[in-house]
Amino acid sequence: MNDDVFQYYLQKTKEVGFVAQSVHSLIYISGLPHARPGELVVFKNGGNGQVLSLSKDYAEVLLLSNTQVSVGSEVARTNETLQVGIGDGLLGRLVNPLGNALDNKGTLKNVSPFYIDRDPPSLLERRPLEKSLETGVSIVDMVVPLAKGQRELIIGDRKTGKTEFLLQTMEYQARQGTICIYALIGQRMNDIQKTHDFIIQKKITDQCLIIASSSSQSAGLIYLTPFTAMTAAEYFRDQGHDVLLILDDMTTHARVYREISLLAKRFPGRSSFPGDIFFLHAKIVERAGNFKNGSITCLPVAESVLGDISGYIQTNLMSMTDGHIYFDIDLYDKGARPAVSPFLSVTRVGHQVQTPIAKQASRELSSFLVNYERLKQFTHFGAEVGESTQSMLRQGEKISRFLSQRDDISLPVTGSVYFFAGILSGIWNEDSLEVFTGKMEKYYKKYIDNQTYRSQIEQLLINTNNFKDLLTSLKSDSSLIQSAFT
Amino acid sequence: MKHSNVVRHILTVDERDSLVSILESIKPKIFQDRGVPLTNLIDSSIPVSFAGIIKEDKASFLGNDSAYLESLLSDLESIPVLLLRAGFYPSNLTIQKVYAFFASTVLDPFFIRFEYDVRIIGGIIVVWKGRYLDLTLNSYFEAISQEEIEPLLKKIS
Repeated sequence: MNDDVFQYYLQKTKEVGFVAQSVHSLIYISGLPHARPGELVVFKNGGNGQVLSLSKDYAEVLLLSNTQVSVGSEVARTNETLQVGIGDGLLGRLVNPLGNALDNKGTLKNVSPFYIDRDPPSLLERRPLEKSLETGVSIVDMVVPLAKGQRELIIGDRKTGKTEFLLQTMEYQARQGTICIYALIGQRMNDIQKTHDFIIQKKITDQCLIIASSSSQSAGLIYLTPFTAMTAAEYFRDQGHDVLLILDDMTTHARVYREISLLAKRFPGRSSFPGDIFFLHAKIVERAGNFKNGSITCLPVAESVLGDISGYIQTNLMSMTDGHIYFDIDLYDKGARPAVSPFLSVTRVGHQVQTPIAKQASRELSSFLVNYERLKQFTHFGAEVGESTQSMLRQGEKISRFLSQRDDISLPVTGSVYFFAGILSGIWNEDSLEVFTGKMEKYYKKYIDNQTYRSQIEQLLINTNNFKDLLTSLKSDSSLIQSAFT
Repeated sequence: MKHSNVVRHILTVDERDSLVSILESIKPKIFQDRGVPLTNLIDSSIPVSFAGIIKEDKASFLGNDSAYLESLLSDLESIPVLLLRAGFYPSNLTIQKVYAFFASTVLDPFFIRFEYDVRIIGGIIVVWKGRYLDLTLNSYFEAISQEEIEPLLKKIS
């Protein structure tokens, strides 16, 4: 079979090369006089690779398969740039960056070849962000809201709950009809399987697909992962869908690209990364946005070390995205779930698509959190505080509890805004934290399960002019919110 | 090409490789000219068919022994290889004939690498500087369409 493919291309292109040198995932090939950068080549033993660069004597090829390539083995040109099978057949599937199935469900059907290395769309093809993208996580939807077509970096140390947040967002968005693509870049096979199991278990396979490369695979394959994922996102966008694309994670991608570049003797720059690492990542991330047919919301992930978000790759990604959500290890250790830092997280465009009342609630919440934090630091020194300050501290505790959310509960933003207004209006001021928590859980349950109740609240928020009016009305009549506890 | 006289006497990659390995083995012995003189080493290590030519070549070379060896090795490694794949093992005479045939069309010096491939029915596959030319009977038969084969078979039967 492998030999047939090789012979087919050999007869087609009438050119052959011989492996002169093999340096990990880079292969230097003599011959192939008309090879061109980006072209796919096939090895006689069944592997394949992509031409990276050309010199007088050799073609430098990035190996894309895990096959062993020995010096002297034959290589044929294909006269084709790398294309991957993309289409509706990908939905619910777990595939590698070359479009080969990894889920034992047989070969992919209903896919067509697509070039994966494409230029980002021009400015004229783009549209302003118009719709909000809810994550179902109150702290994110209220403090750092996202818009469809936004590029938001998810940054944080290892084991700070980034993946849980991303999976929760993916589930919530899949249920809203968004196509969700999760790209696992150089992850452990166990994590890849877990993510695949998650979409099966949550019954969201009709809306989701996973493109994954494991850490044990060739550097070339890991390098291609975000390109294939973005191409799949572009396909579904062109079909008129809104797409959520998660690139988990780009620091691994940068490390792999550094490995390839150093092996290829490219001049190392800061932290030994090649000079074009910014260009490479920007070229991927820039392909997201809001367009005429649909949108691609891109959530690249970056891993920080010991809470340091000033690393080279991390700051690169920050500067090419429209904000970042920072998962704080200290907050995580204190028990905050999700451990999103409201002070270090940024959204540059998310607020512009919020409803006026959500925007005002968001401003109120941010301002409250800043004051509450200051007050906590002040009282830390044992200062005596008055009744009003104590009341604010109690309210702060309740808001902190409200913002700590289980990853299996996703609350629409209207539900979050209304409940936050309830806390701020002071209707539960006399309740202990335990009683408050019980009420909050009942509210969540009723809001999620009871369509009528949800519609009533949504209608109320539409009819209310501003957040202050909502607070006033809640102070005078809290029967609607209190009805959740009966 | 500084050593065309030596190169001209080598036809195949196997001959080139055996000469290179001999030259590589004597290289350390003349390191920095403090070892044995190259002329002595040529007599003791290099086959007689090459010894005379190399001595002559060395005599016309401006430079010390190790520089000469480096230069010769570099020249030998840089010569392109003409790969010929056939369904038989060639005799020396065949190699000489084939070399002469290709040498009349290829101006640059080259070495021949013969490879035996059991699948080739007849004819030859030529690979030169990455270009692949299939002149075998296999490709001829594959190119014949079914419509052409049927009348042929009828004729035979």
